[in-house]
Amino acid sequence: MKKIIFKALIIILSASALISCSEKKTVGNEFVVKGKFTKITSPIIVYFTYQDDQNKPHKEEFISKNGEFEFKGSSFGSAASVFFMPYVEGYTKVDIDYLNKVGSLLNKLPFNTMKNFFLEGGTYEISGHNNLDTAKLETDSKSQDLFNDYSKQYKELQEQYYQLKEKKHVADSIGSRDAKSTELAAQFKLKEKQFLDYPYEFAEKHSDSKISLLALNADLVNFDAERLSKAVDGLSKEVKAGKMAVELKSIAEKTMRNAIGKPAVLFSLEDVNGVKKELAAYKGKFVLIDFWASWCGPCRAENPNVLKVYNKFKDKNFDIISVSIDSDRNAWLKAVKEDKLPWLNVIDEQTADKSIGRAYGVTFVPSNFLIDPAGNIVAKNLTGEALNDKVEEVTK
Amino acid sequence: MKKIFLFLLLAISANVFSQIMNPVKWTTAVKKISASEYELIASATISGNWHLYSQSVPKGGPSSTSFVFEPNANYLKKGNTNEDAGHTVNDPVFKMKITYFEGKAVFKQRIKLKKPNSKFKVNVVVEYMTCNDSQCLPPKEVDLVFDIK
Repeated sequence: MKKIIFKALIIILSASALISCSEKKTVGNEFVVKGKFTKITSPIIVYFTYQDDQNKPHKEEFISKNGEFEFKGSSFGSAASVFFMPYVEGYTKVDIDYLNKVGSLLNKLPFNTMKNFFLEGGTYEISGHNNLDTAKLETDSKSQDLFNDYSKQYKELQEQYYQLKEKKHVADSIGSRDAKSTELAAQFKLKEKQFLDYPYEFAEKHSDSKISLLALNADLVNFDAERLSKAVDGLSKEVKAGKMAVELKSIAEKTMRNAIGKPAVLFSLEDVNGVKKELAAYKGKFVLIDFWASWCGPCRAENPNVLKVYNKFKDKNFDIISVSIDSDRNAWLKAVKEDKLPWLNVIDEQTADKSIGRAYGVTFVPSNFLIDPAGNIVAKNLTGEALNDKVEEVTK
Repeated sequence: MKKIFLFLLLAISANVFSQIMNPVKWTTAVKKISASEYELIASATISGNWHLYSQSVPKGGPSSTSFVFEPNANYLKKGNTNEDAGHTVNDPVFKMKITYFEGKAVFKQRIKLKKPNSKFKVNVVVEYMTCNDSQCLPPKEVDLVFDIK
């Protein structure tokens, strides 16, 4: 009896030793993604996309001869995808000649399928015949079910939102004003709210999940800075430690700093003669701070409109400061002359830490800020008629 | 062809969850011409109605796209970097002829290997800016790597 127990114990021990040998344990954010596709017998290119723990996007590729592959790296938490492309001798990466060669292959198995999953520290084993859509994913990561729910719900809302948006756009363009179009407008408004609220509701409900960071990041196009900042604050300590949380918080704070109602960041920049000029000297006036550049066509096209507004309101306590983000001083001077801009023209500092454009959270040009006599921001990004109307309204 | 292209775009930007403004995505390819000559191909996929500019735009216009090849002992550049035809318009704002790319742009550079069949990497920095009808994103630099093997 003792012997049997002993034997059993040895079997159990050696079995667990075997398991721990074959199952390479990963530490912290380290991951191993392995694949095995039994019906893939000729070479293919395996692509693997994800964001690492520094939030840097990766697109890895691997030529697999037998349908097996393995990727290793480090990720705090990111959406990841695996897909296959045909292998053609002589081409190591995707380009247009290659696409001509592989042609209709891309519409066939296994190249028309893809596996999306949530990647964090852990091991992932993807297996199947030759279809990624239906392939089995085995992993010690506990986040997959929630990720699938999130992705499904987000995609559904996104689809419905854009469908209604398109329908509404068509109705608006033919100018119909019947009961049907009123209902459509109401439907659209409701769906828009659902779509925009979804990431915040998700993050609130799943404050201890890294997937909340993906949800909040998806809203970066049309985002509400205050809401985003609060949402990041509401996440668990572990989730908040991720690089993505830190970046989201910084974007939100910069935007909040320059929100309507906030005092404009003061600056001192060189004018066309190389003399430093201060924003503070304009206290008591309405000032339009206009960020632009000589190489920016839309800015140059807008300048005549800005000039028109300047001439109309310059005697009504209104002034303009144009801040160029040009790096070529001569190109800037030439453009100021060509566009005949009679107000104060200054040029931004070139380094990121000193740049006033950056301090204002400017990511594109033209961008502008209307400042009231007390030095507070009253409006942003006014162009065309909207600029004229707003300046007229405030200087009345 | 269009269908294939669409799939590729989808595939490369599979990460639908990251939408920070970045309308141009670069991919690189290497094509072997002979044991001692290769073609380096940099492809830009340009989203929506954004424009990427030609390598030759007259002075005083939008910033042109430029490639800087990091010199190394393994190769020499052969000729200039070729680009697609693109669209050339008489720009009413800058009052000059401007060539830009929409949707896709392919740039090609031939190189001569100093030692046939050698293996090395070519590092390239591409500097470019992008505009649509109402705004421009400032010039930025992206590192490209070409693997000669």
